[in-house]
Amino acid sequence: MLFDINWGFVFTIVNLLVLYLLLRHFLFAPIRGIMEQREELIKGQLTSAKEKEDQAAALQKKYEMTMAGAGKDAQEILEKARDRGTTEYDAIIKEAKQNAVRIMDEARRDIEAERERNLRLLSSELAGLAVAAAEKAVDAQGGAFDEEMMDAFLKEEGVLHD
Amino acid sequence: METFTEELLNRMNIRTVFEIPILGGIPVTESVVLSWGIMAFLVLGSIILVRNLKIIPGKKQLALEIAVGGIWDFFEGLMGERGRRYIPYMATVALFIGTSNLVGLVGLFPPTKDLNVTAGLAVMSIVLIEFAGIAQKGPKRWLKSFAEPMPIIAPINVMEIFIRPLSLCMRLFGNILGGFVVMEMVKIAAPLLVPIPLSFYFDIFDGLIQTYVFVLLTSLFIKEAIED
Repeated sequence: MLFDINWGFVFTIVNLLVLYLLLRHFLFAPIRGIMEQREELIKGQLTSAKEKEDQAAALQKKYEMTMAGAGKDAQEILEKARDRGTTEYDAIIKEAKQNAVRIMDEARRDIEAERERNLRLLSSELAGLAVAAAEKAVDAQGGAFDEEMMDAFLKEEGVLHD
Repeated sequence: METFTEELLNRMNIRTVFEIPILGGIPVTESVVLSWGIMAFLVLGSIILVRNLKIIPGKKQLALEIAVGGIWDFFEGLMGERGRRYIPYMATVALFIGTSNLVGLVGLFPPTKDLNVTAGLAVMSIVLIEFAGIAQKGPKRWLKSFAEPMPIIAPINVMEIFIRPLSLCMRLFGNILGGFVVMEMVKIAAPLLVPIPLSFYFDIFDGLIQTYVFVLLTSLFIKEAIED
């Protein structure tokens, strides 16, 4: 009784097959499915994260290069500006100097001319005074005043100019 | 003493619940009905637990995934890459035997104390083992593999086809029946409190160990069958 094999044996085999199909459908397949799906997702995310990281690194490199280039550009622009400033400055100074020299020359010439004029005026006045004095002296001696002789005399003395 | 023996034999007896009125009446025993109950419990439990799984798991789903993942890793470790297709069946057997051995805790008797159930399990195991061998090697190489490592032991290898399921069947049956008989005797002799610590050993520990041994041996035989 304890050891007899009967229909229970057949039932057990059928039960096992049915249970296998049911559990596979209701338990194992969904759970393994979701686990694999998650694994897939994580793998995908890791890959995309790696890609993004690479992209970011490339972008940073590019940015750094641009920044370095910009620094160089700025330096160049600054230098150019400085050069131009220096040139302009030099030109202005040069012009100013030229102007100054010209103005000085002009002033000197003016002064010379003025002096000449004053001198001429003075000498002619002096000549007049001398003539007057001489006339007075001649009148006092009662003699006639020879104007020609007077001029010649004055010229000889350098007072009167031609 | 007379009544004690009678009572014990009465409890060991597996009654027929009803008969299916074809082929001159197919008897359906208690253990078969209990197996159906266990199947219903497992399938309904699966349906309830597996509802709306998410990519980001909650606590319940996480526990479920750890359990199923653990079972998967266990069998994959035993059977290797090639044995992967047999994992669902082995996991089914593990759940069925495990639950069967534990139903003693809720006052029922384990169906695995019925020789018909363990015989069914063992025959299914040997069919799976030989099927795995044929599927992996092809019929010719499978037949040749009986003469390995040398032809003289071929008879022993052939005998193994019968010895393996017999030992699987009898080990499970004997352990569970033995545990059941001891527990029933204790329950008759001292029904109050005394069965509790003993139940931990005979119902839980022994039940789980026998489950482990059964699926472990079947997996090892499958691995052996699909090896080169």
